[in-house]
Amino acid sequence: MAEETRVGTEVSLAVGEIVRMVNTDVIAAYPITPQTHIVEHLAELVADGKLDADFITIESEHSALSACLGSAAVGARTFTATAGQGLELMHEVLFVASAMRLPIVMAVANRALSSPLNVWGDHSDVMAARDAGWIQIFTENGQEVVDTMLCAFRMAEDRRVLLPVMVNIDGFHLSHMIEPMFLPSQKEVDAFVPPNHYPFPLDPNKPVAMGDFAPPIIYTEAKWSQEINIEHSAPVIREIWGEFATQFGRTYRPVESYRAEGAKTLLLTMGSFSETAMTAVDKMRAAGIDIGLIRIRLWRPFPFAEFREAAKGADTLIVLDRAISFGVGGPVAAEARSALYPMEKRPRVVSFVGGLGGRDITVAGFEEIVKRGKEIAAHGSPREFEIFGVRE
Amino acid sequence: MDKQSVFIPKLISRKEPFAPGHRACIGCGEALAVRQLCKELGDNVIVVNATGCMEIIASQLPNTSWTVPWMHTLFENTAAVASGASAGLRAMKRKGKGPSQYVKVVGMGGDGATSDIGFGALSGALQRGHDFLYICLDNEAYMNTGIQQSSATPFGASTTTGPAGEKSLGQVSWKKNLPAIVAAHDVPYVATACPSYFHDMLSKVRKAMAVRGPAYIQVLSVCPTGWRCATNQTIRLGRLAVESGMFPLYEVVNGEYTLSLDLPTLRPVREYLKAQGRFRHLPDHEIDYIQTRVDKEYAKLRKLSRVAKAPAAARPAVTHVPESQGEIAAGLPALQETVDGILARYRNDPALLISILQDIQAAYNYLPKESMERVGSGLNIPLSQVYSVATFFKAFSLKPRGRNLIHVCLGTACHVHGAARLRDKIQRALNIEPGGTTPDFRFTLETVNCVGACALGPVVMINGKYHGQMTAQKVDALLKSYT
Amino acid sequence: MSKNETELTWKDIEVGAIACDPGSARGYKTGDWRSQRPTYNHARCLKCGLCMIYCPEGCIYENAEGKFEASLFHCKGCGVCAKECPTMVITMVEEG
Repeated sequence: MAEETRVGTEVSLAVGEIVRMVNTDVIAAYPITPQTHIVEHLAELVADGKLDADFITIESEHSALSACLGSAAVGARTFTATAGQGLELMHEVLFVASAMRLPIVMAVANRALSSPLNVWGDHSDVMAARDAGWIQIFTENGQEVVDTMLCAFRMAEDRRVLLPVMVNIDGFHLSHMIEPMFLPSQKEVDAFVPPNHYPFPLDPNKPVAMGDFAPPIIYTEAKWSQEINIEHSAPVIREIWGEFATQFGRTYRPVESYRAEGAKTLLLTMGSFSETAMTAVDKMRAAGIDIGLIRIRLWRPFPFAEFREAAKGADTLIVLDRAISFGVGGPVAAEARSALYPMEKRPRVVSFVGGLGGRDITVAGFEEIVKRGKEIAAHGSPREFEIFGVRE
Repeated sequence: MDKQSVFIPKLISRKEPFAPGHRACIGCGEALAVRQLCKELGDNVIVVNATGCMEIIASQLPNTSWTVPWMHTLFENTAAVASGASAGLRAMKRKGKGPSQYVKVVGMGGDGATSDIGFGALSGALQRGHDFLYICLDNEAYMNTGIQQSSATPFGASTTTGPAGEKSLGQVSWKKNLPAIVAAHDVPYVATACPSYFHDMLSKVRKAMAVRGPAYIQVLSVCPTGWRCATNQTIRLGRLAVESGMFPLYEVVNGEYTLSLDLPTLRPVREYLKAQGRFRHLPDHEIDYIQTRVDKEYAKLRKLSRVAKAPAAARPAVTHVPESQGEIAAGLPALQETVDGILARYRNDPALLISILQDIQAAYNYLPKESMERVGSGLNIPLSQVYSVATFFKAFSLKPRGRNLIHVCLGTACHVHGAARLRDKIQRALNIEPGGTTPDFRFTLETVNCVGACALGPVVMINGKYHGQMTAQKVDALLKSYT
Repeated sequence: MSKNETELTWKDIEVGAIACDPGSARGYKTGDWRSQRPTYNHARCLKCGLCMIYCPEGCIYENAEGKFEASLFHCKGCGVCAKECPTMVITMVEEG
């Protein structure tokens, strides 16, 4: 039976609380807005003796994730957090963490990219890192952040997975919200997240060599084994969410549908905007508009089957991206198109980009998007994708 | 040390923790350095390696030359990965997890990985004070990618991105003084080393391994491929680099510089430069410039260093030893006779080098330079070999020493009980610096990092006798008891 | 690992592509890189071991008499041992 406490706190602080409760060994982090509240809280917990961890006040994000490689490789439970430019500075390290199968958990307070400088939220940072081989999960509200953080350690360290996990939290729009959340008890955390036992740590008692050089004769084999591994992580991720539901009574799935049954037009969102989108769907449904919502929670490995299942039957899928793949359009829309393409009868994908650099999209905004999306579906658009809310 | 009829290389571990079958170029000085280093690093280390020659040549999937836990991730992040590994081990140890023994994290990177692309990560890790040893394998260019110029490439060297040509000399700026930059981080131990002087290098590794905090060793690794020399020149060029002052060997212990090999005269840089294709294009006036600059840099280093604090004349030179030094006073011929006598006692057998040096030291209280030259020629072995033995053992001194040898222990246990005050008091009482000898040759003052008597701390050892729980008040009486 | 790199399938790749067999490079023959080979006049050998300590390959071992010799399985023929031997025991000769 759940022994959770209901608290009202800032989401960033709640992230820190989970990192504390799983008894993390090492945190290496470099300050960057809007991630700072997470690491400040952790530093405070360490300073107050509430978390027995080494907090490395490192000199850059590149080094932050690099330090995490070393820490995870010796078998220590390892956490870091970053945002925006920081994630980009980590870029090459991201690929190493996943290829070396190091179970690092990282919270990303998603932020726009320079230039011009902008510290507010969008998904530009994570979209540039989508191919890095990490498990990537998007969260919508404080409770989901708490629950995902808890599951992230389980997923990363599961012997069948052993992959780094990125928990995406919209910068400011979610990271800085003060919300009511259920925090698990220590006993519950201990029961849910067993100690980390990395199977091949760097240990003089059983030496291994990590990060060899692989010429063409063997590189393909190494990469294929990595791909199979991340594909095989999907059922484990579902299993861990299932166990979480049993213990805590909250259910999470790779793809969620909201009032999508029978809807011919579906909206697709990721992250905290989904909450607004749900309200908008309610409002439009009340007004008799045929609309439902799909939210992708598990972005990598991409849940093809669940996504197709959720989208089937619709004629139009309106995708809102909070990032631009320049010269192409919305990255989620591109992914959706390619995922839907093998279906015999598939919805037409209409792509919008919006909510860049922290610009809000309100309920009315979503109504407009849906209206324009339906027009495009019926009459087409001069463009491959449209941008929402730009001043002409 | 007891007399042993062994030759020095035989004292070094026969284990090859860095296995053959690596794919280093023929005559590779870096593979040699790593091979020698590993003998001293031992089993209880985790090596974190930067991308570079050493990564490529020693670890091609599915094989590896490493027998200790080893990790390579990227080019520029080695010190950061080492930080994480060290912090991870520390946190786990606190919580009763991980390896039960003490494990040292050792970062290794080339000169590019260390002084260029990984410079920030190194600086950060040094400043934060993680417990790790960083070894820079300095072959003075990006050799792995094909001999491109780095900030460690010496002035005048031709590389593929800084080629000598009609309008260029090649590298036109001076080699970055990375050891000094590292030392400026106020870390406990910094040293330069070269596999040509393996005893010296391994003793430095030993010291660095004993540090609980950041330590740094920059190892000059001759690269026949990139330096354009014959593959059999690896050791010789290392020696020439050191003896010409191009790459002086020294240590910086808690900020104090000590020349490991205080050369009375430097060999001309020309000898070193002319032996390598990368410098072949240099006209005489540029060589002269290099000579001037090297002389200047070396003088600067000597000025900083402990051995160099005494005026040049006071360096081991027979003619300047006072009468109290008995036989030496008789001058050079007497020294030659004495040394020849000792050599004859040991049938001029090079295998008995240590015993020979011990006898010379017993006669003079130190090893005069001329005696070592005599030993070298008498045993028909290179002088550098005699030097390397003489500098390897703490028991040998290259400087005249007093009749009474004082060791002040500055190890952690003694330090916290005020050993530094004790050292200062003795310094004042005798008016000498650590490493120095009183003019009347009554006392020589040394500091050591631990004498293994922590419970007695602070400890002052005189002529091998421990004086525990010393206080500044007791010093005068103690010194009086030694004549 | 018993398979060589050309036989390994993706299923043989360990977690994170780690190498679990420390020192396994020993099995890789570098001797065929050699264009010259060390020969010995062991009568002059002092058994000092300098050649052993200066060998970049680490392939010089003591023989039954306590004298030092290179294993030609790994020796790449750099000639450092010949150059550094204080008593000139070693002469490099062309292979072939």
